[in-house]
Amino acid sequence: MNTILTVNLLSVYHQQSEHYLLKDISFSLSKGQVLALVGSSGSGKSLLAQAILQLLPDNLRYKGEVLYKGLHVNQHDRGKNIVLIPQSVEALDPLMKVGKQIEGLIQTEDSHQAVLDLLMRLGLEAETAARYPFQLSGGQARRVLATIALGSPASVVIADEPTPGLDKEAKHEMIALLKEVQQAGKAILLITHDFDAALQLADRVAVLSQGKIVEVTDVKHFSGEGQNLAHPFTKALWQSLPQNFFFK
Amino acid sequence: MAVAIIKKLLRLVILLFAVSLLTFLLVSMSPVDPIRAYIGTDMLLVSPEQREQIEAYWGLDQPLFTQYVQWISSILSGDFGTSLIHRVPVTEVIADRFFSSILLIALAWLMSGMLGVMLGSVAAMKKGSWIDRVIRGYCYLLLSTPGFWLGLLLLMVFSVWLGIFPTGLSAPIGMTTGDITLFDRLYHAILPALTLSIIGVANVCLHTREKLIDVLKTPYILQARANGYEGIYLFRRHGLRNMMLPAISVHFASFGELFGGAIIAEQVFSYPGLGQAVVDAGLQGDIPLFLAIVLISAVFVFVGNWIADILYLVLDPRLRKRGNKS
Amino acid sequence: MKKNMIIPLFLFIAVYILSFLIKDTISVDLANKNQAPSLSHLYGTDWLGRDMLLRTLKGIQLSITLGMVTALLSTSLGLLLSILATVNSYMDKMVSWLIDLFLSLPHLVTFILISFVLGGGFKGVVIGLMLTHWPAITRVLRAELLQLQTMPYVQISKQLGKGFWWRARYHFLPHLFPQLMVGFTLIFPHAILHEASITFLGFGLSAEQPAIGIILSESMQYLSSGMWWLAFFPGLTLLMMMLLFQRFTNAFKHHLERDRSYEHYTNG
Repeated sequence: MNTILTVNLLSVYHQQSEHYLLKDISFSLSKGQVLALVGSSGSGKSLLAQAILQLLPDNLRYKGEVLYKGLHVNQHDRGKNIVLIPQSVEALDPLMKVGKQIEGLIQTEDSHQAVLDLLMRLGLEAETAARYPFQLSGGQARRVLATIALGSPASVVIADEPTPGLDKEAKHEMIALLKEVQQAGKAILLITHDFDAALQLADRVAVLSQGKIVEVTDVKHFSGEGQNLAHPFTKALWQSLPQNFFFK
Repeated sequence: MAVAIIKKLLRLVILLFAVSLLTFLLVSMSPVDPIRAYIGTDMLLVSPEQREQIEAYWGLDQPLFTQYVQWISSILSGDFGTSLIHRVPVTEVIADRFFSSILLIALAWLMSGMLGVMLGSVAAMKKGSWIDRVIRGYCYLLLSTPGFWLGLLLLMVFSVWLGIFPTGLSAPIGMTTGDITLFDRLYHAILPALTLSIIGVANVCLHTREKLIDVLKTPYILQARANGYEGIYLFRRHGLRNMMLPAISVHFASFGELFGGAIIAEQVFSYPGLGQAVVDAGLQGDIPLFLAIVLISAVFVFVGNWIADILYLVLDPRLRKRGNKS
Repeated sequence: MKKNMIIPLFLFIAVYILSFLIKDTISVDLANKNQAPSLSHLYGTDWLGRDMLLRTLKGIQLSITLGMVTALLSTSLGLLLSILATVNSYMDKMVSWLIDLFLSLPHLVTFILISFVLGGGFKGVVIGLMLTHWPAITRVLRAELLQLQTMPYVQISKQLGKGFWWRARYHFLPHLFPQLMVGFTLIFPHAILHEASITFLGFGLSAEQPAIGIILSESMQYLSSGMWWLAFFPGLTLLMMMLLFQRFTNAFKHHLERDRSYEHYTNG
């Protein structure tokens, strides 16, 4: 099999209170696959990304296995093998020019030229490289963040809420962009509460509720009244989409 | 940006007027008799008539407000009056000591700044480790240490026991001003500057640590780490640039404390700077000299705060670009 | 957690109480003058044969008393002025400007100025310390109050016709209490160190009073003759007392902040 990333019985808990925020999460991801992890806000989705990258806050601990190509993930995998597309513009250093920030991500010979190429591919002007993050518009900033996925050599991309807050057009662009990443043979873990975006992109959908994955199912099971869906929470989620209102 | 700088300067002028007025009023309320301070022990030989003549000569028989206006207008024309204890124009006394004090303060400011930022950065990057605990412990120890006592200890160890450094004065005794080299000045400034900076490190260090810890909590640091930056690379790439501006600003804003520290250090090491002059002037009732140094210290504090504010305008791209647009 | 707070405070208070057992005049014993530290005189003796340990403890006692009085007065003044600042925007501007004015001179210079006017002594020191320490706490309290005033429940009380002093008593004071405590514990050691400094410079307590600053400034004259204990032990004792209190302050602040202390996004 082409399995790249394996997460096996991963739990995240609060160190002192032993309160579990994520419990026994398991899934695997192969080349060119997109797995969407959906769940409401506060269900611990972002923590999963941090746990996989081993960047949990001080007071949180994890147990279970995270394997990259069969080996335990360590800090040297970050950026090189696994990469994170962040949620917000705040992930850009406010005091560093955009070009320099992108340059740090892509490890090629002529990184300056590579940055310009990337910016062009995303439809951004070359001058963007010389700007500071606060000078970018919201849409521009999103695209700059997406260069991380395009430019990085990593084969696993974790996209943490890449679509919320975007207008229709920008969202469409972002989805197209991620599809492009997928077609380049990278595996994508899409973490989102934007169910609609998940259905457009993903092969499989994992539904997270109260820290547990209640169901992993093929994307085509989301059809009709949701009769192919096993878990009531998943059904409720499907039926809550605007286009499915009339089923109620 | 220019507007902001000028506005700030205007505030300085208003504040200085307020300080001068308040100081002048306070000093005139004091029980210290300037004539006695001037005449000294020969006071008994002065008859009441002579006393009145002196008062009239100095304008002490005028109403308070007239006295203030006369004083402030002569200051504006560059005349700070005559020092009662040194019996030379105040400007001369100050000019002589200003350089000594600035040398001392600059040395201490640089040393404590560099050391403080370094220690604070190490402590923040290694937060929670033994090295962080040692550095924090050192800072808390210093915050509890009376500065003049530390000075006394250094004086005992280095000057009395080891005899490495001189016990006082900013230049060797018996030399005329022309013979004093910059090296002599520096040599005599080292111990007091060391005292000042040892104490000063604590504040800079704790501030730097706090700022850097705040920076390390931001999303962009999380992202940088997700991209594979760690340790010294993370610090050089993102930590330093985001922590430096607040740290330096705080250090500039500490000019006032530094001036206070210099007063004590100069006293312990008999280092003839402005600090020693203000103590002598205060103890012996030399009002013209005293008022002048109070004003200088106010300017000094303001300049520190002013630079701290301006730095953001000049160095932070967010404020800089915005400032240029408007 | 609790232990961290209580033990240092207990030791601190114990030393203070102990010092009251010492007679106000420490006996002069010229036969035993200028003794280096020994078992019978742990801190040595001075040029009049007085025991330095006793003198130091008396000095510490005076320092603590002064520190408490001034910390209490500065905090009260800070509270009063910060509440005044909330009355209307004109008062607020006045208070802010006063803060700026008092912060525009180095503390020590303000202090020398006040001592110049009032002529030093206990009263001069207390007033000087109070006037130099109020701005910092007033600034904190003022910011806190300005924020409180915009709170919905305060607005509701106002609309229900509750008067200014009712709001001050029932909304502001309970909220400010922790701030006042922290302010007090921060000003207290600061005031003690400041008092020692200015007394050392000659602007504080008079030479007859058994203050640490006096002991240390006297010791200056004997340093070159090698009587190191005159300066070393009194200063060290003051330092120890300050450290004890600081341990308490840190534990106390930690205790107050424990609910907010959880931290995000850090690993290192």
